Amino acid sequence: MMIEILSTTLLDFVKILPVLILAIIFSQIIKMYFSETKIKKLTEETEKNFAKTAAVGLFTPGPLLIYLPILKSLKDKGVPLSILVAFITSQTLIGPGRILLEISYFGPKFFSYRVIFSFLIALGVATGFKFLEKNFLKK
Amino acid sequence: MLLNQKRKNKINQIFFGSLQETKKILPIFLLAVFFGTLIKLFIPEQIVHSLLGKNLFISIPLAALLGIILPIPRYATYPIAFALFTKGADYGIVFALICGEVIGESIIRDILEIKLFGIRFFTARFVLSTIFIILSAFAIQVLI
Repeated sequence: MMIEILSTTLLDFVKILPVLILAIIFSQIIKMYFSETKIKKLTEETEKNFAKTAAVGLFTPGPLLIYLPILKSLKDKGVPLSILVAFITSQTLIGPGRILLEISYFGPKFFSYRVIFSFLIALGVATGFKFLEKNFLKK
Repeated sequence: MLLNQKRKNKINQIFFGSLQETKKILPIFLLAVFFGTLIKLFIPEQIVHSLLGKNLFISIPLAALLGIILPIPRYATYPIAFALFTKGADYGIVFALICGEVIGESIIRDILEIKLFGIRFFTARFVLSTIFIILSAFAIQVLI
């Protein structure tokens, strides 16, 4: 039984390994060419930019952790929190590194649905946050 | 000459960045594939059905919560979600599990977010995200 578990694990692992490595390289390439200034430019305006910010978040690679300090500096410069929420939500939900892996497991149809709905979730969360901020969060 | 050097530097950066990321992810991913295999081999389809397929009003929120609570690292949800999918879990459940995992992915990230933006910002964003993920999972379940 143990041999069956290990051989199945190894087979599945080897099958998916090239996709995983390709996904990691892809996210590194995008990370290199997607500058901070581009992100700043798109978050300069007001709440009307939810859609734009959410779209940028969808295609921004890497863990959110590395963007949090930039987002804090944007907040300090007066970017509305709801805009940051749109970015954080879409950035966490989808990333370029996930494209290949997710398509190889569940197919392009599922992935496209997930992209569309992640975008809508980001819009919904940002709008909801704006409402909460106006009515409950501000002292 | 200078341009060539710049290009070389970029390629080096991409190569070493990828190597570092691979080193971090690979062991965890192997473990996730192992868990996926265990699910595939040992968990009977009926159990998956009864937990994640009988009543979607329970199983979709449950999958989202499991994704948030379980300490599944980045990219490692896919083999587990796929194993559940092959056992009969629906698309809505897979969506809820993957999205739940990504929003509750890292404690370090959550702590930094709380530190930089405050607990109220974090809580509001987290709760709203969970609600919208569950609603979207229902929509996906109907659409696919």
